[in-house]
Amino acid sequence: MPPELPRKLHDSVLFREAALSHLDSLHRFAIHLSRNTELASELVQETYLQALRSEHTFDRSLKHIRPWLFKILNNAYRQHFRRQSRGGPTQTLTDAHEDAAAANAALLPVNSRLEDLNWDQIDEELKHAIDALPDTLRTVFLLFAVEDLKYREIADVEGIPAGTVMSRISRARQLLMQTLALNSSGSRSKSIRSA
Amino acid sequence: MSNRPSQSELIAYIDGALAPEKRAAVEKEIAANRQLRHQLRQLIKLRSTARKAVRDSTDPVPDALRARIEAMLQVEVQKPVAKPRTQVVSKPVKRNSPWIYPIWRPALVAGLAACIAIGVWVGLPSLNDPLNPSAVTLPRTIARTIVQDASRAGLPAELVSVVQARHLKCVMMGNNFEDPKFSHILADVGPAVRQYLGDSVAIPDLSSINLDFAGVGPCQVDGGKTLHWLFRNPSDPKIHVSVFVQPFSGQVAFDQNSAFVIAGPNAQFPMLVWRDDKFVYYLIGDDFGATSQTATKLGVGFGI
Repeated sequence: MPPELPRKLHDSVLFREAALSHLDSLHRFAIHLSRNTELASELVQETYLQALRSEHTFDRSLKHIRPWLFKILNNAYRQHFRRQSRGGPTQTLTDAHEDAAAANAALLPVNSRLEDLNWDQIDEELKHAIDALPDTLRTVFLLFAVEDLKYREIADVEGIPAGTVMSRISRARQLLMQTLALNSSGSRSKSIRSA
Repeated sequence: MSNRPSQSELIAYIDGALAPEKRAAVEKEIAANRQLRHQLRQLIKLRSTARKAVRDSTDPVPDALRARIEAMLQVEVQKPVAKPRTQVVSKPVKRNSPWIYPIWRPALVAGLAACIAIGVWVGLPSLNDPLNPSAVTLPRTIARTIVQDASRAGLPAELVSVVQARHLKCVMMGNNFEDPKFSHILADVGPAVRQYLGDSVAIPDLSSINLDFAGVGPCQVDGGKTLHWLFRNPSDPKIHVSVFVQPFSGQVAFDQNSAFVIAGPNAQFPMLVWRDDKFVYYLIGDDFGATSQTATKLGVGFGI
């Protein structure tokens, strides 16, 4: 079978420019997804390699290239763990586990403890809290809150229904609020004790 | 009965995911309830703070990775694969499995180093008859210097990236050697190679580790005039090895008869680089585990 004819040169140049413009985002997502800088570089490189190989199959508008690249990266991350046969991404939780985590979070009063929170000084704390989220929640939260993907786009990246995306984002938020509230409460106790 | 929206509904409201009627109802509740407004502000603040925290704390893309990606994307737009001109050149292979370029793997380094150590390569020391494919045994110590940072080997990182991209291009396209001056039969390429790079240039022959000559041709690589040789395993299409040869003109800063395995952050495709008094050689493969296995079959181990 003869090799497929290439896309038009013009289209291909635009495709590559568009792909390159998302390098920073993909790298950032890969780092927070894998929590490993070397693996992140490998995933990003593999993402671009796959994208180049699949360039001729990308027949949508270039505005859709961003979620498409994230999907490739996400799949590469999953495949990496399948290949390694080391048990998969850490803390892969089922929905039941997520529900339990969210339920625990909901039991605790959050808002009162967040009253005194200084949002300008919790970057590091919040980052650690995000890193500590279960994989399934962290992925959708990062795609949504940091990378600005829409529910439908995240659903496509993750291969799950949009409703599940919504519920996962909601759970992630609840867990994050809970963590911040607990930390805030802990800090207050410490300052009271030291006083 | 209270119509106070749940936190999930508030989140859906912020994200614009509520149906119009429900949205109106939530807005009405928010307007009437100070505590809800506060909760709403907290949720909005959470997203914006998370966004800022993650973005501010993430290291920028490493220069070497950026250079590799850019080089990869600069590879010319795919052209139809040229038809092989002789039976000697195997047909372009379309692989089903995704192409994987892992971060350097010891197996690769062992494989590449073994290629040199077992004397399947030519060029160092010079051949007696440079126009004929040959095998010359190299000093076994030559490939023992492994560096993770190309600059430590006096090698510009950009050059590593470009060589990698060229190898990638040729493998992806199956074969990209269209210059009619260069035969696709190894035994016939001598005159053209000699004319292009000079009388003393060597002709590589990797047939002893089951790698068939797949083509040779001029190639645009920083550092000067370059010839690119591509080899392919006829029984295992996953194995490709490229050898790039450039006249030495100071483009690398290491001594002659030195060789380096470039691996790690600068080269996610591990590469063997060495030079003699006249030429610089770059050897890069793509299926490193298989290459390593080939080396193992030959009884070579580097203990890396």
